[in-house]
Amino acid sequence: MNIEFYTTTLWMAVIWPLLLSIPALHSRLPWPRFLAIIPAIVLAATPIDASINIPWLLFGTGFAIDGNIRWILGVFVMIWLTTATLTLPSKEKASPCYSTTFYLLTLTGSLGALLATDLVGFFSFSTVMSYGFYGLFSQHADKTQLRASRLYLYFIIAADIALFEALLLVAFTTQHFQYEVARQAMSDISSSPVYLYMVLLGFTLKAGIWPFYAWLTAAFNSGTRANALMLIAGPITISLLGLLRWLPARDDIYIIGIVMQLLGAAAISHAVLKVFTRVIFRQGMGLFTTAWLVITFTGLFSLALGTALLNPSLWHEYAYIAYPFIAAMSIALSILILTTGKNQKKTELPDTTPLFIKKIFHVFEEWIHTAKQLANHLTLRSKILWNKSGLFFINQYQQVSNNQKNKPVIFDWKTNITLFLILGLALTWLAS
Amino acid sequence: MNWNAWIPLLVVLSSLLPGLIIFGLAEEKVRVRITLNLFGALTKLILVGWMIWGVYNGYHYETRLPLLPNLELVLRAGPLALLFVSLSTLLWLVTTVYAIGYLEDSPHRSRFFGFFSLCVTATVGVALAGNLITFLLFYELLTLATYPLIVHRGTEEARQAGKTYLRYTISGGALLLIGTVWLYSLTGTLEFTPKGFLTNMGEEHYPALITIFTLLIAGLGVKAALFPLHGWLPQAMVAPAPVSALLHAVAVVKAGAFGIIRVVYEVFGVEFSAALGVLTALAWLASFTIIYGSLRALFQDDLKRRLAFSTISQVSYIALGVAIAGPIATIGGVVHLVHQGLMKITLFFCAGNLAETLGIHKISEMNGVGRRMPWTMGAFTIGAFGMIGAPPVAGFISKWYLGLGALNTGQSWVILVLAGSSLLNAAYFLPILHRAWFMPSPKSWPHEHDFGNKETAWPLLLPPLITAAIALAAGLLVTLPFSPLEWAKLISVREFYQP
Repeated sequence: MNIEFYTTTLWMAVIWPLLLSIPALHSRLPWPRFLAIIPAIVLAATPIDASINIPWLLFGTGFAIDGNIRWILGVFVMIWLTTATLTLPSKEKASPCYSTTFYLLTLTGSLGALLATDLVGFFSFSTVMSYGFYGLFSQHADKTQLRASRLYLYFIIAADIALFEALLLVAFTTQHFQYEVARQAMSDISSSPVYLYMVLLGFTLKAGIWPFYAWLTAAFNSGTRANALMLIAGPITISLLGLLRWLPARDDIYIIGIVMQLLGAAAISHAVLKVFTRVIFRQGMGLFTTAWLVITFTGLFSLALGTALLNPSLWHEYAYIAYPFIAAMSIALSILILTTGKNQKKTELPDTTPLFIKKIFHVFEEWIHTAKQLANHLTLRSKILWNKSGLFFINQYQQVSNNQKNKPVIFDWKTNITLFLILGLALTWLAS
Repeated sequence: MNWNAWIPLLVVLSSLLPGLIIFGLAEEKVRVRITLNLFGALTKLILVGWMIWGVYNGYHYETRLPLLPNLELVLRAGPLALLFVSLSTLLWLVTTVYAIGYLEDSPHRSRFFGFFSLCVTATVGVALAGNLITFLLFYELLTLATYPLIVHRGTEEARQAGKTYLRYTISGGALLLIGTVWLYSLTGTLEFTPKGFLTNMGEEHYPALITIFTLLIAGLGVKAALFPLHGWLPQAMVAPAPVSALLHAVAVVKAGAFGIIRVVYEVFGVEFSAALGVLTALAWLASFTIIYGSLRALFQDDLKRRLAFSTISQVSYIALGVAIAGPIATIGGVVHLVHQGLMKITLFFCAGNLAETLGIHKISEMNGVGRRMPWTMGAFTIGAFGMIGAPPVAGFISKWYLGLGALNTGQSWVILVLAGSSLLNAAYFLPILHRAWFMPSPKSWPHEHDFGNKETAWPLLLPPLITAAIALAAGLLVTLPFSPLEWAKLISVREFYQP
């Protein structure tokens, strides 16, 4: 096959679904979800390794495909075809237009991250994927699903901030963002281990690795099979792939390795116990159980990564297994979702989330409210202290009418400008 | 005087002359007014495009006119000036189209568009000013030209907001004037110079220079809405949406931030400022404003007020980039001047569309509005993600360079400020998007206007779509020649950190 055609296809695989995600375009085409995957199918079906550099995109990114990526892409394509079939317009509840937009954004993000040749490209596309999936997750959501999607949103915000900081550290260390170069630069012992913490935190949150799995079980519990499949061929797999591509192998931070191993072991134990309890009490195998199998798989991955951090040489020897592991995991989980989730009714599955996780849920969901309360409390306290301080000559400025008689403004313009001048001079002299 | 010497003056006149003619037009001369507005905006755009090409290729554009003994009115098109001029020219064109749609059938349109043109004239003058006295003149003209726009609606609330605006900005202007005169008496020059003109000042002048710096920054900080000088900005939200867009993205706030860049780099010089210790103080103040603005935004239910507090926070990124110093942070600060403008104008256009089409003013009224106005909310979503700093929208690039600049200069604490600000931005923007896209719509909207089968009128819909697309392109195509980032790099390398 002509190599130029193939590189164009590589480029189109990402751009085409992005274009189709525009509602005005896909609403005029038949089966846009199938159409969007066509270039990806061509890529997965043709055994040619290729790459394309796009110097004008972001800081100069590129896309590439090799044997390992083709395996995962092949699995993804199968899953996406299945989800497209499951969500044919007649089977959707309402406003398919926006579901398709979010679906195609998730697809674009996943494809871009999978094919990206550098950290910035991976980060950018994985962000598109995460927010796209959040949209998909929140469409037609019931109360539980909305709650889970909100938690997912909090996690992806925190994850993106952590990964952004990691990227800055890479940019500070080296000017190159290609995986190999960046990994090499960041495995230098003199480099800060903060990069490692940020990458681990970011992808652990994004993949729902134990103990950040609360949204994942809720998503499977109340979500649709199509969403569960998209979760596999999107956020979870891409995040695991991110860990593989971003993490440097270095042996000076063995504590992190041990922590990762412990987390992995805890995830597996917790999941086994959950599934076992379900079997004992004959509660049936629904998507909920599949969620715990996802946690088991990601726990296994965590265990392997912990080992890699403890013993980099061992990792170098066996790292090639990671890609087939991810592909196999995706296939296995997808089959499970398709077979076990078919007849699931939301009401059949009780919410068995542990109490402490529910409390964490609550804290996460109510943090804005808590912050408001805290702010109000602090304002009130400072007001009392202010009044007690006897500076009443300043207090007279506190009530500025401005057509809002009962709305106190902390200071008026005269005080503000005077305060600024004093503050500026004081700070400057302090600094100098 | 050759042809190149006239171009900066022509750029200023291209909005001033149509503005003056518009003042004299009768209300019903709609077509003439629209033609004059668009002619002025397009002429300015062509002239600015010409100068961008010229400056990129090393040409020099400067107009000098006598003003006072030993002081000239200088208009100079350097790379930094052109960055701001191109932003204001492009956004003026877009805002004019929006304002034509927004103010259709409303009274006093000639007055509005007259002052609107005057406001842009002043902004362009501020941008092209080649010395501090020219800057000061246009800076004050901007204050006077903006006031009638803020009080345009003529309500009691609008008049009060205008009064507050005048009190703040005239006080700020007075401080700027005192600082300028004091500086002139010390140095005998006010000419902007790439590395500053105070480098030869002895240590005996340091206390006076620190005070002058504080006076100048206080004068500029009023318009840049630095804490605690920001009080006028949330109140000025009573102005019509095109004015809010102009205040936040093109003119007033940006003039203040731009002035801070000029003072730090071209009056004091970045190295001399660092030696005085004033940059550390400015960095602290900017950081505090970033967090404070975001925290205040979190608690606003009024959409425009939330956006106003967001501006207070976001504009301080520019001051922070300047204060961190170093070439990379400078790029971050300077490029944010453009990026913030593009994203914030998109958000204000969208807020205006919601108010004009459905009567929505509060965030609590926005449930399901994404399904009713998908294009408007699509543009709003892009702007909001840009403000958060999510890739691939332009805000990501600004935060990237600010963060990297902080690491390069050993000021890692700035990373925490940026992370905290991103988190807070997400906390006050994402709930809006969640409401708009995922909550069920109410049975009726507060005050719905009928636009047939269209989402809203074309002049209202097109501007936010254009600015959102540019904000996205500015984040995606960063390495293209003439992209805001490439231009900011040119400024940093050619002007401030030349070897």
